Amino acid sequence: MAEREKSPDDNIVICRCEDVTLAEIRELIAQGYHTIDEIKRVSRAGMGPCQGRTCRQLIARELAIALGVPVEQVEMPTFRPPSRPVLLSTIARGEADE
Amino acid sequence: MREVDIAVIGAGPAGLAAALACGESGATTLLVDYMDAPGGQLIKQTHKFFGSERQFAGTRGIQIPDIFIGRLSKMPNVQLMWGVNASGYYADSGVLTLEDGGKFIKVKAKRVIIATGAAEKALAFENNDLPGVYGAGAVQTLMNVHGVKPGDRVLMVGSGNIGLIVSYQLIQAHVEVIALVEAARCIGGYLVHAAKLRRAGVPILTSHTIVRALGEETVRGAVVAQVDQSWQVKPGSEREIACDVICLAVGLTPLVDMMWQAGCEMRYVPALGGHVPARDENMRASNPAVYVAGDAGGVEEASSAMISGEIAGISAAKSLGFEVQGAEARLGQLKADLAAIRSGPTGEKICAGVKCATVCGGEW
Amino acid sequence: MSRNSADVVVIGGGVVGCAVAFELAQRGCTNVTLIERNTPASGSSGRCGAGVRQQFGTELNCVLAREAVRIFERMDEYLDYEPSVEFRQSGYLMLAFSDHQWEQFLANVALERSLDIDVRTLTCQQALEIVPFLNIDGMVGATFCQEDGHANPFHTTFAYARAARRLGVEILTHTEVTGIEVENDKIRAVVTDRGRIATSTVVNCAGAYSGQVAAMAGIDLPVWGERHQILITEPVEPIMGPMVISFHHDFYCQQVPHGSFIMGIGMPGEPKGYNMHSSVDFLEGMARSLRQLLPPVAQLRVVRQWAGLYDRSPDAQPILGECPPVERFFNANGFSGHGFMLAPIVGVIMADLVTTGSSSIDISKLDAGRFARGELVLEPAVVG
Repeated sequence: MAEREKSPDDNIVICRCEDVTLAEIRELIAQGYHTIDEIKRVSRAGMGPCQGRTCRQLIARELAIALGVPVEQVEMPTFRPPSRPVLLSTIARGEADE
Repeated sequence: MREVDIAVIGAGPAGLAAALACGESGATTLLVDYMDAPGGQLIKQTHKFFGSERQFAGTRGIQIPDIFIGRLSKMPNVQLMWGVNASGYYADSGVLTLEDGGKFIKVKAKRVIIATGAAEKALAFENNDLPGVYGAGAVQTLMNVHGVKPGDRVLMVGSGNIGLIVSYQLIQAHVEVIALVEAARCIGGYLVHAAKLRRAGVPILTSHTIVRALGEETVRGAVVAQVDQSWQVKPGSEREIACDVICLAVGLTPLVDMMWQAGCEMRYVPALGGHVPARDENMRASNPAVYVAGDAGGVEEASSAMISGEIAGISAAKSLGFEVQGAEARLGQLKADLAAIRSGPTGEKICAGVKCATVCGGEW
Repeated sequence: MSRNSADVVVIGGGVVGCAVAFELAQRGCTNVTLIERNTPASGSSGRCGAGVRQQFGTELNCVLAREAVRIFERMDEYLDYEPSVEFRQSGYLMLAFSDHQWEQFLANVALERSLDIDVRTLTCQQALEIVPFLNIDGMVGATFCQEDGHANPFHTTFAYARAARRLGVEILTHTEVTGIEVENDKIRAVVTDRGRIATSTVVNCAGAYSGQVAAMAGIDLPVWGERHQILITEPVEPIMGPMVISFHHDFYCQQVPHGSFIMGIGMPGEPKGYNMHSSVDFLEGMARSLRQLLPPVAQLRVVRQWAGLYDRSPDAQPILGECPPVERFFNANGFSGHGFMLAPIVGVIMADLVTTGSSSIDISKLDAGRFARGELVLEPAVVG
C-alpha cells in the first residue's frame, strides 16, 4: 500500500483507548468495512478499556455519512460484561476473605 | 449467592428515588453506586433546584442525597453499598455481579432497576487528545468536588445547560471563560443561565465550532470558525483563541451497557441522547425483569430523574406483589409531574423523544 | 443482487467459506457467489481463540494441520494482504496431568514425528523453562511444538475475502439463504432473502448452522451448535510465548501480539444450542482455573467476555466432501473447535474436490456418511 499523504484527519483521535484516528476509520470504510463490528475487529477501535463507549457514536456518525443512511440505521455492537475491567484474581476469590 | 427482590444500580437522583419507593413497599432492596458516596451528579450541583416542592425546589442539589439517605438508612429491608461497581448483569440467570474492592459478589435479583445515568459525548477535532481537553462533567467534578481549577483560561464548547452552568461555576471559581462556542444558531440551554454569562462578559459565539486544539504537550489555544447551516466551516472565518483548557459540553449519552447485556430492545433516539431502552409507561424494559430510570433512559435532568426513579421503584415492587399504599394515585401524580416538567418549548423535543422510546399498552 | 446464477455457491462467510471461495477462484473457478447472512467473521470465526496447532492424535488431522500451518506461514504474501494476518509461531505447550494422558501424548508425539511435525516431549522442569510461572503441581509432563502458534482471526478471514473478491468472487453480505432447490438429487438453485441464484454446486460452510442449511437440501446432517465461552484481558508486555493447553482442565490460554491474554475453559453440561450469551459461571470457573495454572496471569484484569459456537459433529471431527444422495452438495463444517486452524487446507481440498473431483489429501474418512456406518473418528486431542 502506498504511503497515504497526511491529512488533518490523522490528528483527530476517534478511539482514544487504542489510538485509532479518523483517517484510519475513513480509510477502512473506503476499503469496504461498513459496520462498526467490522471496523472494530480490523482496527481494534472499541476494544480498549472503555469498550467503545467513547468512539462508537463517532464511528456510527462516520458510517452514516459515508453510506448515506440515517445514524439510527447503523447497527450497534452489543455490550458484554464486565462493565469495567476486573482483576481475575478478585473474581476467583469471590466473597472469600484473603 | 446473595438474594434480593430488587437491585437498584446507581444512587443518583433516579436510583435514590427508586430505592426509596422499593424500600417503602417492603421489598428487599439493594442500592449500589460505584462512587464512595451517593448522589451521582447531585454532588456537583451547587445551584438551587427550581420546579415543584415535590422535586425539592429551593434546595441545592448537593443537599438532596442526604435527604434520601436519611430515610433509606433507617429501613431494615434496604441495603446500601458504596464504592461498589456493578460489573455485569447476566440475563439468563438473573445474576448481578458486583465488584467491592477485592471482592466479587454475586446477587440473584428478581428485578433490576438500572439508573446508571449518562456519559459525556466525545467530539472529533484536530488534536482532540491533547492534555487540557476535558469533558464538562470532569471539570465540574474537579472544581465542585475536589476544589481544583482545571486551568486558568477556558474555551467552552457547547451551550446546553451543562455548558452554561459549568461556565458560570468556572467564573465563580475565578477561572476565566474566554468564550463559549455553539455550532447551532441558537443557545441550547435555558436563557436564564446564558444571561448570567452575558452579564459576566463572556462572549457566546453561536454558529461557531472548534476546528483544532493548539499546543505541543498541552493545550495553549484553539482555532474556532464559523459554520454554515449545513455545519460546514466557512473558509476564512478561522480565528485563534488563547486558552489552556478546552471544555467539551456537547451532550450526554445514556449509559446503557447493562440494558444491552440484559438483551433489552434498544432504540436510537437522538433527542434523548442516543440509544435508550424501549420501555412502557412504568419504566419497564422489554426484558420484564429490568427497569430503567433517570438519564439512563434518556437525558433530561435531576427532577425528571427523581420522578422516573420513583415510578420505576413503585412499578418494580408492584410487579413482585409489594404495594405501597395508594400506588395508583402516586403513579398518576408522578406521571403528571413528569408531563409538567416536560411541558413548554424546551420540553417539546424530549416529549417527542420519550414517545419514540415508549411502548404503550404492553404492545411489545 | 448482481448475479442470478453461479457455478458454485458457497454458504457461509466465515474463515472456511472465504478460504474455499478464494481457492476456487485461484483455480479459475471465478463464477462463485459466497452468501453470508451478516458480515465476514461475524460468527464463530470472529469469536474463536484462533490457535493454530499440529499436535493431534490421528494421522489425518496431523497431516491436515501440518499443511494448514505451511499456508499460514506465508499467508500475507499468498493472499497479498496488508497489514498482516499476524501469524506467530510461538508454539503450543500441552500439559499432561495423568499417566494415562502422558501415554496418549507419547503416542501422539510418535505419530507427529513420523509425519515431519517437530514436537518435543518435556519434563515438568523443561516446561518451566518455556513458561517459568506455570504451576506444575500434579503435572506429569508436557509436549511442545514451536511451529504451532496463533493468528488474527479477523485479518485472516478478511484476507481470504479480499483476495477472493479480487479474483472475481461475489460476496453477498447481509443475505440469508432461505432454501435450496433440489430436483432428482441435483441442485437447481440457492434461494436467498434477496433473490434466487441458479447453481448446480453448493459448498456448505455455515458453521454451527450447517445442519439447518443441509436440511434445506433434504440432507440430514448431524451438525449442531454448542456454546463456548472466552475472555480477554488488558494488554501487558510479552510474558508468555506459547499457547498453554491442559486437556485435564479443559483449559487454554494464549497471549496475543497486542499483549492481551485470551483464554477459555469448557463448561460441562453445555447443552446443544445457539445461545451466545455470557455466563458468570464461566467467568468464575475461568478465573479459578487460571489462578491455579498460571497464577501471575490472574493478576490481570478481564476486559470482556463473550461466546461463540463450535459447529459440533458426533465425533468432534470435521465433515468434508460430497454428500450423497444430493449431487455436488459439499460439506466443509463440523469442525468442533478446530475449524480456524484447518481453514487454509480445507479451502484447498474443497476447491480441488469441487473442480476436479479429487484432492491431494484423502479425506474420505471424514465424509458425512461415516456416522451411519458407525465409523466415527476418535481424536483424543480436543479442548474446550
